[in-house]
Amino acid sequence: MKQLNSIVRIFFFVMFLLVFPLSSFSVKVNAESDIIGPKVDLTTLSVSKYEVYPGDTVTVKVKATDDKSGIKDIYFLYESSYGLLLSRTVSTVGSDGYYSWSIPITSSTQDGVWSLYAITATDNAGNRSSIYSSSQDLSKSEFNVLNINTPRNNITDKWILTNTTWGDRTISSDLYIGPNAILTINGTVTVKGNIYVLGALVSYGNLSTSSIYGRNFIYGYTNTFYNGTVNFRGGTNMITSLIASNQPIPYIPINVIGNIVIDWDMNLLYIQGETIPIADLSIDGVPVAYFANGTFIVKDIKLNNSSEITINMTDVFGKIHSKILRLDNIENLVRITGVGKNGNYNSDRTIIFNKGIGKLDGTVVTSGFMVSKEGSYLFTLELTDGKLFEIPFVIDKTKPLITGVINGTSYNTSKTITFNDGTGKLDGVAFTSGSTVSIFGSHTLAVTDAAGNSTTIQFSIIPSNPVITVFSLGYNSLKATWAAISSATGYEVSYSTSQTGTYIVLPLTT
Amino acid sequence: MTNMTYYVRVRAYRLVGTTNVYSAYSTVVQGKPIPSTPVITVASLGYNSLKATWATISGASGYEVSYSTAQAGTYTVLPLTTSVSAWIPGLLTNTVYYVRVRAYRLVGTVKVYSAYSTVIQGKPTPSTPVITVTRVSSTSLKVNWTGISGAGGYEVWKSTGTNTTYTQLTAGTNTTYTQLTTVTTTYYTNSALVTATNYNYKVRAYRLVETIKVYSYFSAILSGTP
Repeated sequence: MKQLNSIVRIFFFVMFLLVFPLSSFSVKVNAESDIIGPKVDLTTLSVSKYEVYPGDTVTVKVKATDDKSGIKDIYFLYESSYGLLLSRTVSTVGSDGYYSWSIPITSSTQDGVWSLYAITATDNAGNRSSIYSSSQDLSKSEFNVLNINTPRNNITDKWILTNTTWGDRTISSDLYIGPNAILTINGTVTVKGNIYVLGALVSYGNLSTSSIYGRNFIYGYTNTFYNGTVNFRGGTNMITSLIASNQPIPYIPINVIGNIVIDWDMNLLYIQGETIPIADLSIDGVPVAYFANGTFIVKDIKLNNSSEITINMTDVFGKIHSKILRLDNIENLVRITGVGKNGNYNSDRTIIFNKGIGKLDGTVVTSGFMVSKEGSYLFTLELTDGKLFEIPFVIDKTKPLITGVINGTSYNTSKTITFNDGTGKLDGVAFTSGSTVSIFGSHTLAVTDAAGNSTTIQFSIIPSNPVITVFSLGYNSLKATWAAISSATGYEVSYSTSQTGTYIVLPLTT
Repeated sequence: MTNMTYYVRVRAYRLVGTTNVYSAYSTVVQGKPIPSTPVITVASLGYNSLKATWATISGASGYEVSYSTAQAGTYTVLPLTTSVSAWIPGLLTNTVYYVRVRAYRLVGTVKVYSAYSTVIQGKPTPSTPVITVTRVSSTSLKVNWTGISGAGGYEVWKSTGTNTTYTQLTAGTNTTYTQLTTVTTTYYTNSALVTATNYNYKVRAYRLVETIKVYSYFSAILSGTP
């Protein structure tokens, strides 16, 4: 794929040459005496902003000079991290002497890092000077298109996540090579920090850096790369130290961005952070996805521990890079108590928050505001760092209504029971509204809604009671008779000399 | 205990697993043990009396017999008896009488009665004669019978062989009745019969009530051959 992208880039660039052939400039002033191409001043190469969002405009600019015929135009060719290409020829020089290209970023712009693949200056004599990213460090022209919700990543370390070939380049920070990515050094590359190799590093020489952290270092040609492989294929490399280890990555930076918000009622964590996206991230055991720039937003992770937050990054070598945040030691901790996200409450709620501007259904409320009336609400908390937290909740004080049976009543037939809210349990077992109860015996139906309102009723399904007649069966005995009850297994007969007295129970009869 | 009021209730149950699930109790119904109700039969015991009989009622101290000429009328109560039958004398021939009996048990000094028996009708009629047939000669047979108290006369009926169609031979007269006072003189001699032929006889008594003959049942049929 990468090879295919390279072919596309070359094609694109060749097309540029065909459209603007060298001969087309042969009639320019002093053309016959101008045989030297323009000079692009890479020290002036810059972009207006690195991280850009849909709606932004990013401007790349550079200065170029030509000592005889003058600059005709500057051609910029950008490539995204996914291989998409974007180009523009700029013919007009600004009053500041720069050739500028303002690139509008829209919602359809591919997110991720866009790098300048090549820049070509053409003079009026038709001479061209091209600079390629494979041979020169053009990283100052990169910009990163972010999703509208993507936080800005302020970590200055450099990382690559896909196979990349570098020509001349200087990196002023640490460099992380992501797992399964191969960085090929094919020019003069200086990394002023350290190089951490989670994928592979191949150097043909002229690599200068402090330390390289990897699993195995191979001198000479190899075509077999594992995560952590560093292959020196030739040339002269100036490296202070090579550090080999099974778990060579000692540290991965990770920072919290702005406030940490905890929905104390639901024990939910809201946190934003930035890191180098080269390891699997989890917070309190829950996997967390990155944005393209290595930032992340977590809105509803359950806190395992009420006193601390554990952020783990597990690298490709199995090492866990942990960051423990003690809640009592977090300066930017925002606690919201009283209501929680999607909370259902059956009582008055007092909303308490220690920072920001709270609004209940759009109306500003102060901390300590009590909500009593039943209904659905949206509490929002707007923080000074621009974060907006939304906590929808419901106050429901109404108990579920059960129909079909009446508490304390016995029935001689099956009963179909419905309830208007919540979930039911009949004798401790899940019971669906609209189901029919036909089992003889005493039953307890408890229905509890999401707010915790509960209605419990007891009822019985019993055989029909007999209708009896009693008559004397001689001077010392009576006889009771009744019609058979279809659902009965048998009958119990009892008698007493007092209607409200103690009854003597005869042996059960069928 | 006799005459004690007892309260009785019943409830059904259904066995569910090992548990009985009971219905509600029935309505509580009162009951009081009393002697069982006699079941009586009533038969004529001659032209002016009836006889009521019944089976012994367990626990009964005695019985009360009463009769009336109207089912819903006033009943005449006979003296209490410990017997299982009662003779009701002094009645009018061919009049319908209604008879009922109830048992009683003495509890202390209180008589606890059973319900009345079903009221049974009875009608005094002459008693049924008992006849004998004797050969008098090769052409005559003599039929004799016991005298029936209150009878005004007798009818002697005859048939021949296996013929069941009877012919009335004669009606007795008051003379015969008069003779009853001596009991052994009641008879009828049937003459001019065919020798070696079988003849069947039956006899019934009657009593004249004004102009109506009130008959007894026929006697048993007896045969004779002259």
